[in-house]
Amino acid sequence: MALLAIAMTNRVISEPEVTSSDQAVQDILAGMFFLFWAALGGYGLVSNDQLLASQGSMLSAGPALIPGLTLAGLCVGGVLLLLKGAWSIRAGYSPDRPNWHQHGYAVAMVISLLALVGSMQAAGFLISTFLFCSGWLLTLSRRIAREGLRVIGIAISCAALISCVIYLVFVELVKVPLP
Amino acid sequence: MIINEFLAALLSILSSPEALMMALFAVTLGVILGALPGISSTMAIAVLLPVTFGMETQLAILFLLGVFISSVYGGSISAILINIPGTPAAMVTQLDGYPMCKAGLGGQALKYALYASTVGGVIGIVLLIVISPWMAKAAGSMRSPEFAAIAALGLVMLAFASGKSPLRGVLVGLLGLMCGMIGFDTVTDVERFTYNSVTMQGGVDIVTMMLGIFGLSEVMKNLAGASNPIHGKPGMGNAKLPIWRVLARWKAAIRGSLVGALIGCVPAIGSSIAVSVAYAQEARLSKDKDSFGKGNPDGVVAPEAANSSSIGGSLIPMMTLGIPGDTVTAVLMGALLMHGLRPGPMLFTNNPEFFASVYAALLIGVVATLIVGLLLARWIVKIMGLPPRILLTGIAVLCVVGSFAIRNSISDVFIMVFFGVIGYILHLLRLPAAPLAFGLILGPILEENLRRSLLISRGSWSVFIERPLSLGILTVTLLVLLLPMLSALCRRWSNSMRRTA
Repeated sequence: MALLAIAMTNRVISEPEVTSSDQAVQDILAGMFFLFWAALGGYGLVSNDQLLASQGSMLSAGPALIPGLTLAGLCVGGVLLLLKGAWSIRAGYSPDRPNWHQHGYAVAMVISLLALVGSMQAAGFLISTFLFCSGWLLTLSRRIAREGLRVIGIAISCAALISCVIYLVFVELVKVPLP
Repeated sequence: MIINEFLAALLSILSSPEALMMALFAVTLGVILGALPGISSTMAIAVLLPVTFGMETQLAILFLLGVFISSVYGGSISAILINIPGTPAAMVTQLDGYPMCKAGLGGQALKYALYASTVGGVIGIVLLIVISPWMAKAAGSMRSPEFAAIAALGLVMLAFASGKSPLRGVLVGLLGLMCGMIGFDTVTDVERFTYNSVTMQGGVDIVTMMLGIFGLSEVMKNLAGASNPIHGKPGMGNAKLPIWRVLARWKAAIRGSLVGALIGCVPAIGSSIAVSVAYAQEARLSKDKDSFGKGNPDGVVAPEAANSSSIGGSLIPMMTLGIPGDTVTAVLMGALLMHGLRPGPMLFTNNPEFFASVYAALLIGVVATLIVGLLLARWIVKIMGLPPRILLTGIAVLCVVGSFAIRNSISDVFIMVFFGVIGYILHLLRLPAAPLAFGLILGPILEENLRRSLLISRGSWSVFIERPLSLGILTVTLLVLLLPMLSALCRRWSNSMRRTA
């Protein structure tokens, strides 16, 4: 039954359509992604003398056994994906130019979150969160409406509400010592 | 008898105003979050999980299960009213729900979905109560080789079921496994993958990772416009539905519930398959096949019943074997671990009261969803008009606060942001993110049992094939791994046969 269901899963779950050239590039990038982690993990394993010393033989039940097997799996899988992608590219696919602009907001979110964490320690949770929320709500509202003061008013009210509700729930109810 | 403990737990919740209020609050939150497109049940539970840190374990479970059950029903609201499933499991409900809504019967479709969810939820709980003790007893006779084999099977199946490419799923699972090894080895106390960093020595907390990959990365995806749906203002239309018309659909509800509950039991299959099978079966058995996809109420009832009944089923492997059935149960398992409970056969033997309280919490959640769905449906539909930007900003802050709350450590916030970025990169590379969490949960189980087996057998790997059950599980694991190749060979063979004919 499990096997049947797995087979059905592969048939039923549909993902957005991907062109062959996109797929080839994604295979190469995914291969590089896994190889990067395998290399990083490999470095962590090889540079750790204590770990290697306590392992004993390669397939004994030491602390490096599963890390070693995992890294080997990542290496083999990464190389397979890389070769699959390279083979498709070799067959004459031309990759599309990536659209970097669409990731602007996502990158900005990460940077602003890091700034929020930094400012939380200096200015405290409430002020930092209020500024973070106001900034984001104003930025995202600008995409939808350009009604000036009304948009600013709603954004600032929502920012204050979000900050206060989260502060009340976590600090007063859950007793989390937020900065 | 577990039934006595179940009744005692039920009475204890019903006699506590605090618990009842908590259940109603959780259910209302769950319905609202489930109804909002872009917020899955997994994300809802992951984001709300830190709120339960200060609660007693029973209350926390009541809260999280309430959110789980109700968000599953909530997903059908947006599927019916705006043709966008709020949760992936509601994808089939929209096929007949939305045509009903377009015909001015949106309110009726919502009520069909609600009643079917209630029936499905109850049948799922009954199955959970019946199968769990039996399954836990069977699991009680297992030893380390079997548990190592089950963890490997679970990891492979979950990785396979998470996306189109099994290889990619397995590789992400391996990455999760690697994340689970960061920190001190529990047996030898040797540091692994810490790179002499104090932050890394603490290891990766499961909730931190889940907040990153199911919370922050979803916010980033929405901001990038990847899953930011544009939809009109939802309207309910006619909501008057006589009870006899609901009762007339009993066959579809029972059939859907049984399909959902049975399919939900199989680890890694999840509700998406259950609803698809339930819908296909209902269309096949119907006398009016042509009306499916055009607003047949049975097309709403069967998948919604299957959707809810699969909840009970999906909890069986998680509670009895310690193997999460899908992403939502993986998050729930993270919650249990946070509260000091490790699901598995030992938990059933040592703490049957906990199992009883889970059953009771599920039943309360199902009934509370019915009450909230009937009383607050119009109000919830109005909230669906809430601009996504407010929600996204709030969720981002919740992720930060939630990850800080785990150990009151800023390092955890940075780790959460890191996993948010990893989740986003995985999305860009079309790699499934869920196996990362499965690897982190199942990795320690796999490693602990594998190493223990090898130590007992004095390093001999034959221990895994000498025991029949372990051999059987490993054979299934191998078959699952080879399944894509076998199915490709079968397809090629049948194509060549057709050409020859």
